[in-house]
Amino acid sequence: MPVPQSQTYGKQDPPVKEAAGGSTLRLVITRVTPLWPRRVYVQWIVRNPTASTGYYFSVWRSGSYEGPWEEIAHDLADIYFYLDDSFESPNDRSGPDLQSTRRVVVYKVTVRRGTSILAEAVQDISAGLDHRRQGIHRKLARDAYVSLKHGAGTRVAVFKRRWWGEPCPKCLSLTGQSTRSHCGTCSGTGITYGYWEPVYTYAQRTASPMNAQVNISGQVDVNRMRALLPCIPQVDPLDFLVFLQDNKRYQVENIGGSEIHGVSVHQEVDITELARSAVEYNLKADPWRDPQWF
Amino acid sequence: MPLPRGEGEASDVYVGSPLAIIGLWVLALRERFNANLGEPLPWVWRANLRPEDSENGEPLPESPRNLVIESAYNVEKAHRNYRPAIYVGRGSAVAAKIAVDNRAGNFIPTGFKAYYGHVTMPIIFDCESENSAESTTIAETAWGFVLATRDIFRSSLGLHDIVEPTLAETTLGSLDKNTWTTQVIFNVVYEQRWGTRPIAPVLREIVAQLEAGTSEGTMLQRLAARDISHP
Repeated sequence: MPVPQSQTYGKQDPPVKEAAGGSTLRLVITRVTPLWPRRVYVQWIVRNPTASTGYYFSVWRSGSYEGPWEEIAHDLADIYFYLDDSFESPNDRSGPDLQSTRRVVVYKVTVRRGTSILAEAVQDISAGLDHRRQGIHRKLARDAYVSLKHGAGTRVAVFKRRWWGEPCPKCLSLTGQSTRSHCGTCSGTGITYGYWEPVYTYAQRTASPMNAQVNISGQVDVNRMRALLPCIPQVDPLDFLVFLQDNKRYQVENIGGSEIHGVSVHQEVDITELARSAVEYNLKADPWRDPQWF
Repeated sequence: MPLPRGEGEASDVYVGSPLAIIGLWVLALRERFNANLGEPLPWVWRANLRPEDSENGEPLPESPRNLVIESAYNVEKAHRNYRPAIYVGRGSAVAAKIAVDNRAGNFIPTGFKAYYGHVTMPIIFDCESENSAESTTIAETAWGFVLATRDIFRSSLGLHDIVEPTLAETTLGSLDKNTWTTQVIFNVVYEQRWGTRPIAPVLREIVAQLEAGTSEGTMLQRLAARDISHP
């Protein structure tokens, strides 16, 4: 089975070491600062530029590190920042909002000179670090990732839930709530497609005994445990993980982990195993497998 | 002597008992949430819960969701994590006195006394879903169904009364996922009949037969073969 690789570079082997195309030119997003709850300030620089001018930048936005991406600024000529001011918080959730205390918004910046894309960079909203601690963070995050990749972790697909997008035409009512938890169009999220493209990484599950509860509706299987994840992708409650080894799927409940000056180094999340009848089992998690896993 | 049972009816569940009355609404709800093309619902009861898929194994996005409708006392089913679901249970049943000492009549030769009364029993539908709005929508459908059919059910099932149902608030629980439950509650009033037979006449009869010279074996055989359901 081929190893799942992210379609956007830099997700599986952070930190970014080299730009696409073998060029030494690198694009680095230096700041993604939220100005709650209205706008986000994005700033970037070009390392090792081959010319002083003539660069055109495009800014893209998504809820996941794998997109799909929405272009919010096109061909900014020699401009190295962008103020994303489009957080209207519409009540039908058709656009992004910053009202939640934990909202992952991911930005991708691409740079071109002439017609070819020279480099791109992806960054979510996160606190910045000074230069010295950037190195420390990079070392710690890499160690955590390597230990998961080569040691205790197994392959996992992270499905990030959509919190904004096209309202579901099938089940979203005029008053704003989804009325079908297993809608085939939105997976019960109220937003078309339900989840962003999965991000593939490595994670470790802790061993956990199956707890069979008995309540008025009968015997219910509940299986709660912890999972260790690298700092990318940042997960949120109601995201779900697919452990590709056994195709078991888990919903994220609580999130903890270690940080350095407010920047995540690794994540420890409480997860609960989803019932086999859950709608999350309808989503394609492993496109490399034949027959495919749904 | 056990009363006759219909096909598939459990021998341990007595006709007119609370479990039997719960069974009436389990069957009725399954009929309400059927795959009626004239009135398509997004939730359909089927005996088989396996979701439909296409020829290449992909889930069918627009197929109705299978709905579990079960008695709340049926706890051994292996798919209790399945949602949406309706579990039919009951609350506290209360017998009410509608005649002096509940008395219906006496049969003087044997001392048999007949009684009757009305039992008021709340029937509770737990409408579970992973979505608050879906839970209440399913419950509204069930609530409207009970409201609209109560007269028909009352007359055709021999119940004394079916009180107008209550649609309760939606509450949150946490299982493998957050689970929302909306209850539909309504009282069913049905007649309960029972009788008592004093032991003294039976003993007197045994003594009389022994004194008349009936052998012990014959007498015991007669006692065992006697239909005690009638005075």
